Amino acid sequence: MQRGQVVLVDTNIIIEAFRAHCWNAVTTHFTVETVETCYEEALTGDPLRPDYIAVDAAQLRNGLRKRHAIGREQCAQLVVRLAYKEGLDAGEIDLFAHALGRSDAWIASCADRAAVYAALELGWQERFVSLEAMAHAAGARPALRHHFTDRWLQDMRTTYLLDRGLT
Amino acid sequence: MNNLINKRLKIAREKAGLTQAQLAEKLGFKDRQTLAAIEAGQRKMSAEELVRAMDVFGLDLDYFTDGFRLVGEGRFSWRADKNATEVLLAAFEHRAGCWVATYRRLCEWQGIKTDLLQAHLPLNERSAFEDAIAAGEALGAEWKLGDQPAITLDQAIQEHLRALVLYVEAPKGISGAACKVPGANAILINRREPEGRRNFDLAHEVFHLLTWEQMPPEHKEPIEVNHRGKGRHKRIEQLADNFAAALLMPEHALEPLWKARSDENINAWLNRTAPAFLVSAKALKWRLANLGWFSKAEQLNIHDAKLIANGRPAKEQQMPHLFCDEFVRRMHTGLAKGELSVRRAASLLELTIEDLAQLFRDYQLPVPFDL
Repeated sequence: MQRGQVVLVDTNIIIEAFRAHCWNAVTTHFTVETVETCYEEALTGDPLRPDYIAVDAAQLRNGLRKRHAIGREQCAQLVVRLAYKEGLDAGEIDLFAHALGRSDAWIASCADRAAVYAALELGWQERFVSLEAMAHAAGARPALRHHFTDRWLQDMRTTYLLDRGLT
Repeated sequence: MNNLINKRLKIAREKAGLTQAQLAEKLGFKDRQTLAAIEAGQRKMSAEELVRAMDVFGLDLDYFTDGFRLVGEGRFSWRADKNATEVLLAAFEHRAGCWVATYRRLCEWQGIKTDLLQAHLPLNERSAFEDAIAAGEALGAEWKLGDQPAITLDQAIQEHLRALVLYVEAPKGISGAACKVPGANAILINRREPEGRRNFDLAHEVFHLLTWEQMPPEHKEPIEVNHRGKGRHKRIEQLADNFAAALLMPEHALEPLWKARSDENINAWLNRTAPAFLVSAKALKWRLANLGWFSKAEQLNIHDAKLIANGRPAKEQQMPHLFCDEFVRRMHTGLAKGELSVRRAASLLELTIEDLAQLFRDYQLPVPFDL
């Protein structure tokens, strides 16, 4: 991971970065981008719920270098390659569809088992990093939930390989 | 190979009334055989071909790729009152169809086999009410439902018919539904209805699942008996009601209670006895009337306004958890195996992520995520 490198983040990463107060650190250190669907999902929620995590719209906008709108052609390119397409959320589909069309040295972060498995199915083993790793690279030490740690991501990679008998 | 896209393409073509040759031309294929190979699952569609198909049919991408929704299949029969408009039913049917399709797809991925053979009752619209009553009694005995059939009826349906019983949050006016889908029949019950109504709906919908081919029910059947129209469909609903009453209130369990009644006021007795079967006092009244156990004097003394019991007393009734154990277990396994994401699961079930976690706790399952 290099300073200024493009990182694609999904809804879960955005919300956790705000919850753990490391959004500013991560977005200062990296060039953070997402897709419109994830941006909207991150801002959606019921503020009256006890588990609601506030995502400040202005802070979110300021931290993102780009928000990509995704067309159906891009999604079609993705879905013909995935076995479990319907298992992914709209934001996850759009983010991966966008990533599929990029040719630069992007990396990405997500914290869901199905999304990580889909990324591995697409051959992106080396592209995915945890929020924890990004925060540490940016000099922050947030208290993160398990799915956002390096350990969890490593476990997912191992489990995926074991499940498919590739080891 | 993603056979779903191939299957959905064929469904779309047939629905549009196009031949393979006609569609092959519209998609720009050199010959019909290319399309035939795609429809047979022998050739994969490219992304460009998929987009062309979306244009030809005017359909969205999900139509071709989303196995968590029903396309070209699934028949519903709703039990609803006059508040449930066709627009409301159509919207809720789409949601319910997604739940059933999701369950079926997860079963497919998880190697859970669904029954090819479908059980059915040898009844038709010319059958006598006595035949429907006998069938209800016999089924209760065969499934060993005991003296309080309502307690285990939902489990028996899942065990013997391999049909899902989903307790759902339904819009006002929708009481329940039977859903006939290849590989995943289901009964939906509005979990906010009183216990007596829920149980009667469940037994009533069992009848429809077991007689669907010979007596397909209407898309919407009114709950109110006096709104049920005439003729064939009214007859089918009456048969279903008689079957349901016998299934829930078996004669062998009713008889000793009736004999022990002595001179207790009939309205009071119906209100006191209905909770023992987890049914309404009105349902019990009709069951006794069909058994021919009332005297004329007793019939005159029964006042519907006084029949207030609807299952057990309200404070003893527990609202069922959302959906059902089997459905939630499939979702749980799907999440644990990375077959669907947490956000996808939550949006399918229309829950927040925290509510999804609570759903697993309700069924004593460990929450398979920490997001």
